[in-house]
Amino acid sequence: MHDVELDGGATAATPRWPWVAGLVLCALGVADAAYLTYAHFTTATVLACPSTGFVNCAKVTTSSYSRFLGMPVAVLGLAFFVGMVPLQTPWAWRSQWRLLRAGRMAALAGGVAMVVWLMYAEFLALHNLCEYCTGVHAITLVLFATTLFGTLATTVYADDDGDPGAEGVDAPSGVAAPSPAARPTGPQPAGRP
Amino acid sequence: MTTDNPTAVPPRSGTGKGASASKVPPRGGQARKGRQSSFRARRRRRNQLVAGGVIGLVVIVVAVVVAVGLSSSSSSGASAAAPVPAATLTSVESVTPDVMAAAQAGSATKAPNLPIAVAVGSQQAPAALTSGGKPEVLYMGAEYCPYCAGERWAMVLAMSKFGTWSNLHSIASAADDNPAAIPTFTFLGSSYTSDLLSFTSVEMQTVDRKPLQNPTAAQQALLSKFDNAPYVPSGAAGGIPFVDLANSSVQDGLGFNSTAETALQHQSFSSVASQVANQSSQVGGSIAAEAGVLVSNLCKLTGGKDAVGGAACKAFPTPLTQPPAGA
Repeated sequence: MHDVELDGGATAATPRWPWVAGLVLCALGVADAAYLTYAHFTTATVLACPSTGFVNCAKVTTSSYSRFLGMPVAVLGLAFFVGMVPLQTPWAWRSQWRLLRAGRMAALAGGVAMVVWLMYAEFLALHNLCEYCTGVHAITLVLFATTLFGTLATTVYADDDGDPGAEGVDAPSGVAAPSPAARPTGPQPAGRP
Repeated sequence: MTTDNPTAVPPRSGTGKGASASKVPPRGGQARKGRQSSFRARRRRRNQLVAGGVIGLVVIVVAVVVAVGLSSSSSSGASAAAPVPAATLTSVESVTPDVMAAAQAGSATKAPNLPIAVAVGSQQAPAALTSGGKPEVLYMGAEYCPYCAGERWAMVLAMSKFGTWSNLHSIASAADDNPAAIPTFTFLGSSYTSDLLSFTSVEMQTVDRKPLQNPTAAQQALLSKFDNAPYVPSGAAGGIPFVDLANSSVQDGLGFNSTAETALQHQSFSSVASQVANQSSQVGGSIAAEAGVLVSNLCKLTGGKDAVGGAACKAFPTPLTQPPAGA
């Protein structure tokens, strides 16, 4: 657990697992997408992948579905994971800045939509599977799940003034209470005078 | 802040209705804190349920795509490419240039009668098509296309006299086309190595007619130029397969007669391969004759050099195609 600063200088602990999982998955995603990008700009035959029957990387990576709006999807995938790295750092997870948290989820939702489209291309249009592409797809889906639950686990809710029926809001940076999941277990440091 | 307030919530002053109703002191009201904590817990559980629902929805969508894809793949198994066994490829490539020449000489469809295999001519010829300093053979076709299916047999045979094929796979053209289900190679994912020629293939659609490989702008320009009159009869313009032999000669469509092509329907790949090898049928003779046309034009590109000790270009000392009128 690490601390998130609250209003008045108080701190509350937040779980480590969202950023640990996020950074590990991003590292795997960068490696996989970088390999596919290298293969795209050299030759698909560098892919250590069987080309027998259903599993056929070359058929997938040289297909018309290997580009999206004119951009190679391998490059888009690499840019996605590289761009996701700063959003998965401990600093980013400590931040309660709504735009950052919403932007991170929106980017991952876009990633999931792209994965569904590319899976459609593999399974329904080409009837061939690229195992490296599938690796990127799996990493994206797992990253979406860990980020979604991580966002819930690290969100600090505003004090809703005691009205249980009222809608709480995500607190802006440094406001109010830590979540139960982020609740410190020991004595808290005193606030500022 | 006291240690008996583990939530670290800095409660606001007791102006809320909960606080006044229960007459809890402004700070440290246990009942109010309990309600807040309970509310937050409920809200968190609700959000987690929503998040779980979102994840579940994604999982369902992915599962449906995978399940439908796998079931359709298994039901149309003919579209799956299988590697061509080395022995089978060797058997196909065993047809000698002399056999090709004999087949060409005896063929009712020998080159001068073919309107679809023509030399480009000198007047409208663009610069030679090259790649890596070697004359480039450009093939543009599609996996569903039955005429591409027939032509690939001749191409694989002819080009084997100038280089080496690897990673070739077998497919069958579309079963709902006419002719139907022609066993053949696909050039997708294949490699061709040669000191004399380079080879580029564009399989534009799958057996299911889905987009596969996009031609480059330069390839599309060659298709537009040469897959038209005067090189191709106006009624056949735009057809595939289209084969450009380094801008020296081009071919649009199948290079052998439709009777032999029709005979290929629904045969197995290995059966056609054996007919090509032993020349025992009209199929084998037609494919060998078309391969001879290609070899004759390839020899023009390589300056009479081949990869079989000169035998190929010796059998075909001059190109078998001539420029069309006006080219």
